Amino acid sequence: MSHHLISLMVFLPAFGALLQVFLPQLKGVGQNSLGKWIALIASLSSSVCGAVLVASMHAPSTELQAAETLPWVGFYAISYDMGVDGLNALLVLLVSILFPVLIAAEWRRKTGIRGMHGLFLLLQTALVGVICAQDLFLLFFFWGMTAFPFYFLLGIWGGEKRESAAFRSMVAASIGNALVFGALILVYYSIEPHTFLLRDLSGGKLAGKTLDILGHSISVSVLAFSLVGAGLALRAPIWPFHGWFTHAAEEAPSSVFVALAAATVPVSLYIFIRLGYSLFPETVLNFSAVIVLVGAINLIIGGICAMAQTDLKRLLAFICISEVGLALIGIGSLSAAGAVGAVYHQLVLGLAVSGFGLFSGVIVDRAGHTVYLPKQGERGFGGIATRAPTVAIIAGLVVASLLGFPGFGGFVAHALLIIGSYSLHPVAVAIAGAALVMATYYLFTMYRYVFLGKPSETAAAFEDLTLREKAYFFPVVTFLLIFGLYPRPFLELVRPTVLTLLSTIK
Amino acid sequence: MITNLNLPIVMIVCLVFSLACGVFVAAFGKKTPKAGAWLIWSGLLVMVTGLGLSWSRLMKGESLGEPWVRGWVWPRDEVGAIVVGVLSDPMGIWMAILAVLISSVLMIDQGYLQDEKKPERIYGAVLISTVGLAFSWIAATPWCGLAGLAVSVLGGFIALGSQWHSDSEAALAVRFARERTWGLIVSFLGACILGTHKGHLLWGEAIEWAQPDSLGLVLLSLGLFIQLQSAPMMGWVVSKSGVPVVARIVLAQVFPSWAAFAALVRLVPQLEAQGLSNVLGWISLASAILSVATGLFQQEWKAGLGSWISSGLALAVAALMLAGPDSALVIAVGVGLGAIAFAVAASHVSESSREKGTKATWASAYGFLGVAAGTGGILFASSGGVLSWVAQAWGRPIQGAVSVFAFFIFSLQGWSLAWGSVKRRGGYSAGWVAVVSPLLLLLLSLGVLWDGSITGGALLDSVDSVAPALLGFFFKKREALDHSSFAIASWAHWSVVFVSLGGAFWMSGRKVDLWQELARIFPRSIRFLARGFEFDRLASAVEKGIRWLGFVIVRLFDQKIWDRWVPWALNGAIQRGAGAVVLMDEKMSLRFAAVMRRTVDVPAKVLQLIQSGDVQWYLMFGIGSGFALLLHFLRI
Repeated sequence: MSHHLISLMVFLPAFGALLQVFLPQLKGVGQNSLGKWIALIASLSSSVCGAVLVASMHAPSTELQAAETLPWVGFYAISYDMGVDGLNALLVLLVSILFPVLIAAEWRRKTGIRGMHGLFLLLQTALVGVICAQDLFLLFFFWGMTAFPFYFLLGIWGGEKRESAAFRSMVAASIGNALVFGALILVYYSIEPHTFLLRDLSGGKLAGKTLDILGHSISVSVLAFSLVGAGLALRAPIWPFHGWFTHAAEEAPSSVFVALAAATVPVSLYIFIRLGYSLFPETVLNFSAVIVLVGAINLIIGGICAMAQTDLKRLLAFICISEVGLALIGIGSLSAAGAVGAVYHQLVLGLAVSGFGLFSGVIVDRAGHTVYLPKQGERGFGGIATRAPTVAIIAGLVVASLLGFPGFGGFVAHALLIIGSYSLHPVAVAIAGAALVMATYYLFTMYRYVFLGKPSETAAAFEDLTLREKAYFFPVVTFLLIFGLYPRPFLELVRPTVLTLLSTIK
Repeated sequence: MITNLNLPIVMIVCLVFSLACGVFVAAFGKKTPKAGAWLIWSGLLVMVTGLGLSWSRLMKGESLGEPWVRGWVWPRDEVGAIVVGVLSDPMGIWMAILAVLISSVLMIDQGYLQDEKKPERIYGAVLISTVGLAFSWIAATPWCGLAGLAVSVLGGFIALGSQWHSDSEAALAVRFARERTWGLIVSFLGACILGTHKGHLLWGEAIEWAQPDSLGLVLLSLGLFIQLQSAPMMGWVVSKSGVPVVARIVLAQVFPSWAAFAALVRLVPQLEAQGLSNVLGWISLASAILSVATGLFQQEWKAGLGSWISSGLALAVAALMLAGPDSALVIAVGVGLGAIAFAVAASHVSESSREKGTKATWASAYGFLGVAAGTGGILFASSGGVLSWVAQAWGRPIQGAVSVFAFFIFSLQGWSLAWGSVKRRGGYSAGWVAVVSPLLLLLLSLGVLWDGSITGGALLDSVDSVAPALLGFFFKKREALDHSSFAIASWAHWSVVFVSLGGAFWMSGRKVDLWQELARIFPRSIRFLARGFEFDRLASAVEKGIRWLGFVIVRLFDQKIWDRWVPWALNGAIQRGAGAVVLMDEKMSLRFAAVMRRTVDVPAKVLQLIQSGDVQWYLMFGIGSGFALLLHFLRI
């Protein structure tokens, strides 16, 4: 049974999405109501598969577990090769937690709910597919698939400038995907016999391979790594290629932006680690300082820009950009603690960002906007805690995790990242410290102007969370605490795999 | 069966239960007002039971063994491991019990909550802060110490939140949270850097820290020092606030500072090994002097008391670094308990009471006793601490002189506050609880409890010793003072106390407050001092600068480059490219058509001529046949 868990996890949401399209009309039952339940059940079923999969993993093993292999396009040696190991197990958990929450968050949408749920399910399939794929082509197939749901989710349900946001996100994704695809083809044709299987390509097989371009000999590994890095930089997002991301943050419905920031961004980082550490180990070793530099730039500029924000959604976008920088520092540190910290950071960042995005969504639903530092004459918030204490408590917990307070997931991730990076990159750690200090400024300022102070007109009409809303916030907050208080079993899943990958680099 | 082995686990369970009670009451207390106080009492009782069990075994002379330590984030044996644990030493357990006792007094005497309609949030904050402080004292590693400190800060933030519905109070609470978090972040970075080199970082094991990273130590201790909220980080301490003064003093100031002090006490061996203790001692002295300079010119007694605590705790850290932990501990405890007793007593004086005009004698008396407890007054434990510190500092002239000066102005400010309290008039809700509770707090700071002597160590060789000394139980090595240095220290100390008492009366005790007169004569200079050397303005300017930079970056990259220039450039490039292609296509089509026309024109004309009958077809065949024959014969 366990051998089909991954396929079930991947295709159950896709099946649910199909049902949304071909939903029969039943007597006495609203089509939308039925669709919602089907979407939730499909997503939850996939999540249960994911949870069972991770729970059944043998912690100290570095081997691929629950592996499934089927030939797909035999002529090009493309196969349906799936599996989980320490590097992707936590992301399986993240997606498993996130998507049922997002579907529940969009339970009361009035227009096109089936379409939205269908696209979320498709996205879940695509993301789980990327995470578990062990074949480069399959990985790219699912990765490319993630762009389409976002295009429609942004373009149909977004704000006033939704078309522009959707178009820009699609352009960025297309260019990024094209670059990654270029790298993939380059790798495929550089190895004899040609293969897309990650296990056959890993271990420095590309070392010494060169390509002659205009009389210059260029390392295949460097070229492919650069293409992958540039392609993922567009989707991660890495400053200054972040324009589409902040634009999407403004226009997207909160749940859609949560999917983008809390799932797609960690998955981009995962692909970077997976391909970088296994396919291009010597290039990663040579370019580790560049990775750290890019991370440090992201961290500090993300933080500085976050300080200048007055809108919750844009603030979240810049928090995301800044935190991605921290993960990159860990990835570039090439130390066990740093790399494990980066993997763990993806998980807790995803949860914290989803918490932030979801409470922003609650505020948009009730107040109609997300500007917390209004200009003169505009409406602001203030005093929401008096009317909606549960929202204020949840926001407080999310802020605590983002700041790395002890007991929250953020503390564990931050500690590992800093411990792992300090020996080789002390300046980057100093920048991380400065970024954290800046984070206290913008997060506390946001908290003060949204939740505390004299209740505004907005706050007077603000209602606390409903039971449904509490229900979908519950797993996010609970897991943030679990990952902060008892991180050991999760870290022990990651550590052996990361150590094995690092051993090939060094 | 509770054994010495599982006692740490019992303590942790007790603390976790109490924390859960505190969080529940803070979050949902308003919905269940009757259950709130009961839950807090349950939490305090459970805590004191857990801690009391350990204390009773320690008192029996049983050893609780090695610190109970477990790997938390990383395998324990690897570098970079984050380990957590409980250090069941007498000092830690006793200080944790002391925190519970203080909180119990606050729960018994709720006079300070008389203006609070729904005090449940403060109840919750009391228990949360107590758990945090207790955990900091029994922490076995800096990680646990920081966790305890963070919990204690959370309690302080919630305590300040009783007035969150006001903009100014919300700003104050956020400022408190921000400044405390800065300290936590700096300490956290320091601990991480230390963790890079040595994984365990056990407080009790000096060998583990044989070669600690200096930068890590500096950051860790600097972050902890920030928690004392002494100059220049005392912005929120001197801000006006409507939060009950006891909640503000105890939960937002003394408890978090004591939690940081717990870590600093444990850190002394490492700081000494790296030669950093002297530097931190001087920094603390300077900070204490600056804090007093700010505190002396506060118009409101609450702000003055806040800055007095800040300077007192900075002095305690100076004593810790320059004289040792035994002196420092009693000074810190004396300042904290004295200030709490002062605040509790003063909070019963209602200036808006109907009994206006009645002298609040009780409050004034407790004010003086509170200041005496903090400034080494006779009978109080701090007396011996101050004497020991002055005696040790005397051997180094500059350090001795600066220490005595710092202590003098600290005492001067304390007595000024006490004299100021005499002039406060108002009704005093003097029920027996109100009278007894400050006394209970002061009893906890008596010398007989800490030093075993009636005078608190004011006499040489403890000739007045009547009980076993707690300090002796805590610290195995206590330096005994010789006669000459003790005599000098006594002279210096008692001179300082009496001169400062008299000086304070001269400045504040008479009809006209000379400190405020000075403020009137030199308004700008005194405003600069009273506002904490305008450190806030500097910080605000830095914040504005960073925000401006953020605006510029966002404007340039998001609004200009990505929103305008890149789309414009791409649009232009695509449009021009497309235009060029269209033009090229047009021209090529025309050219192609022309070439094609020319190519087909001649044969078409010929065919047309044939078709129209202008050229006879058989003639064509004839000519063609002729050519064919000619070619055939030519080839032959």
